[in-house]
Amino acid sequence: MELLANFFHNTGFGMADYRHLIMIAVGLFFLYLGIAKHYEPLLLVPIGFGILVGNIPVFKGLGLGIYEEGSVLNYLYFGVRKGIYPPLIFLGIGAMTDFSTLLARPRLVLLGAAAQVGIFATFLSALFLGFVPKEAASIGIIGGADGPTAIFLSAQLAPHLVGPIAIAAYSYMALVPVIQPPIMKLLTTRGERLIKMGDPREVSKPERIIFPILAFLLCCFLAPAALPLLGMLFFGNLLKECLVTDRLSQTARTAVIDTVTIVLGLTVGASTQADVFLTAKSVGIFVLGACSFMVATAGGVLFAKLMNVFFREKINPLIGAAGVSAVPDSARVVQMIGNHEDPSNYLLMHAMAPNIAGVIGSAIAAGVLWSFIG
Amino acid sequence: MIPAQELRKYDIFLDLEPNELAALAKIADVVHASEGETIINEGQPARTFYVMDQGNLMVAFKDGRALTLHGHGEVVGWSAIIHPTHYAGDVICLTDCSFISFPGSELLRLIQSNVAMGTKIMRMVSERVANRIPFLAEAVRRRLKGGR
Amino acid sequence: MGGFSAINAASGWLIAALGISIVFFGLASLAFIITLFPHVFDRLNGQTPKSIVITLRDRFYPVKKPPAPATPVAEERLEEKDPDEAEESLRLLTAHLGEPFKLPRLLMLAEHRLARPHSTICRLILSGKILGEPDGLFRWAKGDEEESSP
Repeated sequence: MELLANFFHNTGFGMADYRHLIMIAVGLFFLYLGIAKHYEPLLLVPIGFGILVGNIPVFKGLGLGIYEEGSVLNYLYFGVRKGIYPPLIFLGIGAMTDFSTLLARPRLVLLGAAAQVGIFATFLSALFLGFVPKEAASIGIIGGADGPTAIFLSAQLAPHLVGPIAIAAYSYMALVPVIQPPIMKLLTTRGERLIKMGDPREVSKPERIIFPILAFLLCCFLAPAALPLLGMLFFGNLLKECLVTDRLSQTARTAVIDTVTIVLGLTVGASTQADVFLTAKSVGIFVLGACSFMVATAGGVLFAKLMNVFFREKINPLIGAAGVSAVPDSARVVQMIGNHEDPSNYLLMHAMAPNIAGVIGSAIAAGVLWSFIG
Repeated sequence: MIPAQELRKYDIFLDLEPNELAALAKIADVVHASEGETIINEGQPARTFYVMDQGNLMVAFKDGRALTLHGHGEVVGWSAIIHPTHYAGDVICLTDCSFISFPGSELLRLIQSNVAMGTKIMRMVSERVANRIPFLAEAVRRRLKGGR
Repeated sequence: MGGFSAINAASGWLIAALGISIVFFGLASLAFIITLFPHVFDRLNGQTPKSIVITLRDRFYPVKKPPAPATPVAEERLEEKDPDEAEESLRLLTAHLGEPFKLPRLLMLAEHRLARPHSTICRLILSGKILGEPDGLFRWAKGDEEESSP
C-alpha cells in the first residue's frame, strides 16, 4: 500500500493542484480557439499545447521542466530567452511579404506609424498601474500587434513576463476581427467608409530590390536596437525580390518560419506557468493589451482622417486600422468592413501598405524602447 | 485607340484572333513624324513600340553603323517589350512617316497576361527584326534569348 | 509606486513623446525616400554605372565644347529641285569620308549642304544608288561610280 501511495504521489495526479488545472483549462481553451474556431491556428495550437506541456506537474530536479537547466524544453527555450526565434520569424515574414503596395503609395506608411501610438499609450498606462519601466515597455509593445516583436522585447526587458505577454499578444491578434470593427465604425462616418481609392502605380523590379536595402539602412541607423528584427525582415525580403536566391527565400518562408513557429509557440506556452500567469499582473497585462489594440486602431483611423484634411487625394480612413501590424488579419478586417458598406469597394490591397508599415514601425518602437529602458 | 480592323493591315498582327486585335487596338494610337525628326533616342527608356504605316526610317547606332527601313509594316522600338528596356539606337525619319504606336508597359502587360497572343506577337517581331542585316540580327538574337 | 508619479519618475512622458516621434520620423523619412524612387529609376533606366559617372561628371564639371565651325555664309543649300547636284554634293562628301561610309555621318555633313538631306539620301537608297552592306555601312552602287567618274 505504501508503495502504491508513493507511486500515486509521484504521478501528476498526486502533485497537481488547482492552479495546474486552471492552466490546463487555459491550454485547452487555446487549442479550441485554434482548431475549432480557426483563430490563428498556426500560433494558438503550439501555444495551447505548450501550456499543457508546461503545466504537467513534475518533480523539480529531474531535468524535465522548462526552467530546469539541461532539460530539452530548457534548451529549446534558449531561443526565446536570448531573442533568437523572433528574428528568424521575421526572416520568414520578410520572405513572404510583398512591399509593392507600400512602394506604390508611400503616404500610407504614415498610417503604420500612427497606429504605434498604442504602444506608447499602453506603456504610460502600465507605468500608471504600477508596473516597473521594463515591464511597462514589454507590455506596451503588445500594442504593436506583433507577436515576435513582443516576445523579442519582453525576453530582453522582462523575461519573467514573456509567457503572459506572448499569450496576450497572440490572443488579441487572433481577436482582431472582434476588437477592431466597433472602433472603426465608431470613428468613421458612412460617407468616409464609402471612399474609393484609386489604383496604385506599378512598382518596378529595381525599386523592389533597392527598397529593403535602403529601408534597412535608414531604420537601423535610426534605431540600432531594432537591428536583429529589421535586419532579418529586410534580408528575407531581399532574398525574395532579388530573384537569384529563390531557394533561400523558399526555405526562409517555409521550413525556417514553420520550424521556429513550432518551437517558439511550444516553449512560450510551456513557459506560461500558474505562478506567473494566475496573478494580478497577468490580468493587468490582458486588460492593457486589449486597450493597446483599441488605441492603436483608433490612432490609425484618426490619423487617416487627419491626412484627408491636408491631401487632395482622399484615403478611406478604415485602412488606418490596418496600421496595427497583425498581418494580414487587420487588412482583411478593413476589407470586410469596407465591403459591407460597398461590395464594389476593394480595400485589401490599399490596407496592406499600412499593415506592412506597422510591422516596420513596431520593430522600430521596440528598438527605441529597448535603447531607452534596456 | 484605333479601329481593330486597321491592325489587320499589318503582317505582324495577321495571326491574331479578333479579341486579341481588339485588345491591342484599345491601346494603339496613330502618330505622325516629319522628315528629319528623331522619334527614338538611343539609351532612353523604351516606352513606345511603333509599327510603321508609311514612310522611311534610318536606325543609327552609336558606332556609326545604320540600317534603313522602308514602307508599311516595319517595326521599331521593340526594346519596349524586350529586356533591357532601353532603346538600342536612334530612329530618324528620312521622309514624313506615320505609325501605329503602342505604350510599351501596356503592350507588355497584354503580352504577359495572354500567353497565346504574346507568343504570336513576339514571334512576328523576332522574325521581322532578325531578318534585318546580319550585324543587327546577331545582337537581336542575343537579346531575344536573354543572353548577355 | 503607481499613478502619475510613477510615470514622472520613469520619465514616461519623455520616453513616449520621443519614442512616437522617432517612429514617425523614421517612417516619414522612408515614405519620402520611396516617393523619389520613380524619378530616380526613370533617370537611371538603361544607364550603366560608367554612364552614370560620366553624366554626374559632366554635370558638375562641364567640358566646354569648342565652338562649331562657322558655316560659310556664301554657301547655298541645294534645293531638292536639283537632284543631280544634290547627288553630286553627296558624292563629294563620301569621297572625303571614304567607302564604305557611315550613313549617320554622311547625313550629319549633308545637313549643312542640302535643304532636305534626309529625303535626298532616302531617294538615293530607294533607287539603288546607295547600297547598305551587311555590316551596317553604306557605299555607292558600282555602276553609278563608273558613270559619274570623270
